[in-house]
Amino acid sequence: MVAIQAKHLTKVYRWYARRADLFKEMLCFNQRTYHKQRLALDDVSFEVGTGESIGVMGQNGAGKSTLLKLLAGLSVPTSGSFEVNGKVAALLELGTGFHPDYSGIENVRINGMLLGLSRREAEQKLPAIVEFAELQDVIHQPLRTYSTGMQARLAFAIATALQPDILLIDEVLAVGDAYFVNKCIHYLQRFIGSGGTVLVVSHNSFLLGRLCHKILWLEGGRFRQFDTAQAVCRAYDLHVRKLESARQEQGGRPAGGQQWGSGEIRIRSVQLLNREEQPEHAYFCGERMLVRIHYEAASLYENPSVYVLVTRQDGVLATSCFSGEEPADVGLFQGTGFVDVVFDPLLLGDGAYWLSAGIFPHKQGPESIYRLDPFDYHERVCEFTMKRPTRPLQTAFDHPVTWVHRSGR
Amino acid sequence: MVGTSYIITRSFSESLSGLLRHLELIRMLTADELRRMQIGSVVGLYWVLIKPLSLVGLYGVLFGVVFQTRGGPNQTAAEYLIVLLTGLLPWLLFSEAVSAAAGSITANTSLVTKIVFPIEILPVSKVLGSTISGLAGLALLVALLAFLHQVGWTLVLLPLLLVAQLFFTIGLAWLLSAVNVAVRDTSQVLPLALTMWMFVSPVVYTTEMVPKAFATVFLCNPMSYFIEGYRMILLANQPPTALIWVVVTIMAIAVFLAGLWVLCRMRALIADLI
Repeated sequence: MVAIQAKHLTKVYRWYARRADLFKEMLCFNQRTYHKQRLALDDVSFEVGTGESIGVMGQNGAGKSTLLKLLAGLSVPTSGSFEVNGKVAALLELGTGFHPDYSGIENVRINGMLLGLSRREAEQKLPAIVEFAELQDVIHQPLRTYSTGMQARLAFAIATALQPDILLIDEVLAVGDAYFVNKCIHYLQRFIGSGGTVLVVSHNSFLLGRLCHKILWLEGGRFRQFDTAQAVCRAYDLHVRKLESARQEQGGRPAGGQQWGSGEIRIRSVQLLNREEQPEHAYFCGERMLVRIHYEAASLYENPSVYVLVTRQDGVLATSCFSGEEPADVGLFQGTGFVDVVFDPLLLGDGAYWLSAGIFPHKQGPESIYRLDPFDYHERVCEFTMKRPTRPLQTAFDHPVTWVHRSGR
Repeated sequence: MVGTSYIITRSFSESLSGLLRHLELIRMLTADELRRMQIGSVVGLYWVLIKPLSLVGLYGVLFGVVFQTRGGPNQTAAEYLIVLLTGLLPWLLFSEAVSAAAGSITANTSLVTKIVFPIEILPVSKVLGSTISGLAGLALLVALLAFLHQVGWTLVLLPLLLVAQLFFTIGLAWLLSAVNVAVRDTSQVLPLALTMWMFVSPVVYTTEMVPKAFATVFLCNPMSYFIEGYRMILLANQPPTALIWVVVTIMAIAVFLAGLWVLCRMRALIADLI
């Protein structure tokens, strides 16, 4: 059976520079228009069977939320149509209509009714909601004393009480702690198992992969792909990686990095190269990354210390290497040339990273970076991102392991 | 859209019958409204009386003492005050409700854009909340008149007039709250418009005090029929004239339906504009 069938769904938003323009247009019978159009959703068709769970993926402005709004009945399509079979509940935002001064329990009553429950239903479902949210201890306290995570829990718990046939969820699982997100996912899996239909919007390909049978990929309001979760996740990650690389290729040096040093040897540029020695700024875990540091030496210098520092953009020092410490002989620096630092395999976890590079006088440690003058030091000279398409958890890095099993006889 | 009915595409008649189905929700939101009025301020429920009383005091001193406004040659300042009260309290009931409700949709953006919610409920509960709290002042006036032995059997007609005014107010609240989404200046202009409207209504004076040349102003002003009605019931102990009942009933029904119709027509637009 078909739960959702969308045919050529199109949504055009009108933008009026001034509100008065809207009235000019409504009142004047001439054909002049006073608005600009923005195509939020462009001819999207798809079909979702009952009991299926569908992810909707795409970059910002891809039309994901617009699609959900149309299906939820919060907006009317400009053209095209859709059919929905069953009771729909939409979770577009957690805690809509919550009042901070009211207690948790009062908010459950009010919110339940705002979402369409009758007074009696709201009362009946109260214990189950409180239990699901695991807020028994604080349910009589005002909502403003709750943490964001607790509020999210309460809001999701209320949504579970609506018992819809079709659940539309927009990126709301991003809040809340890992424990609760897991609980929500388990709930959704049970919901799907019992014949419920789910449509989830998320940027998180891991979450979608875990939850969804199929994924709809939208780009710029247009249909791009509708396939199994695995296939779309992989394609999407590759696509994002390409975009990321292109952006950093154009952007050149990231902002904010400083550069200092005595200048006897200068770093002319730093490149990140992939296995084919092509510039690349997005890597999958386990790939090879080559850091090529081009230098220009004013005079001959024997075996200076080359330093590379990788910091994750949230501030974590991810890894560093220092040729003076290893110790590695990088040889004689003369004129221009380059040094390659090879990371193979690159084991860093998901995230965006900065790379800093420096050249120091022989055997002076990186601990002296801020005390002794390097020849040249370029802070945050490159940017790159890491992606691990297949692994479930986002960890700091992939540690290589070996497995041993001895049967207990 | 088979199998599920969306509020946003509801027709006018569906919205009208939907109001009855949402009575529980209206009641809850109205109770919530009353509670918020109390929670928000230290003085709480006393506000309900302080605001009309201070306005009555202000207008009483201004028109009764400074301008020496009188209904007749023998009217005392105290008698004028009663005349003022019978006009001002019903007017406040109306104007407070309208100004509270005009921003009710714009103030609840998330209820419009994030959940499936019958937005026509918002102005209704605002008007009801404001009216219920305003009734305290009117009840006090009736008690005062009873104390002065001035009320008769016609008092039973008062609720009828109030209900008609309520429907009229709700209709106007729908209209203004819908327009306010498209033209945000509405809530800015409204206080001024209401003040002007008050002075062309027989609030601080009675229709008899005004030269005949201005009679058409009152004939065209629906609020003057309501206020005349209140004065007849409360001051003259007479049932309002047939003309008043006819105009008031037609106005109440027409504005109520027109307001809901406009809101229904604008619902899809509101969802995208807000």
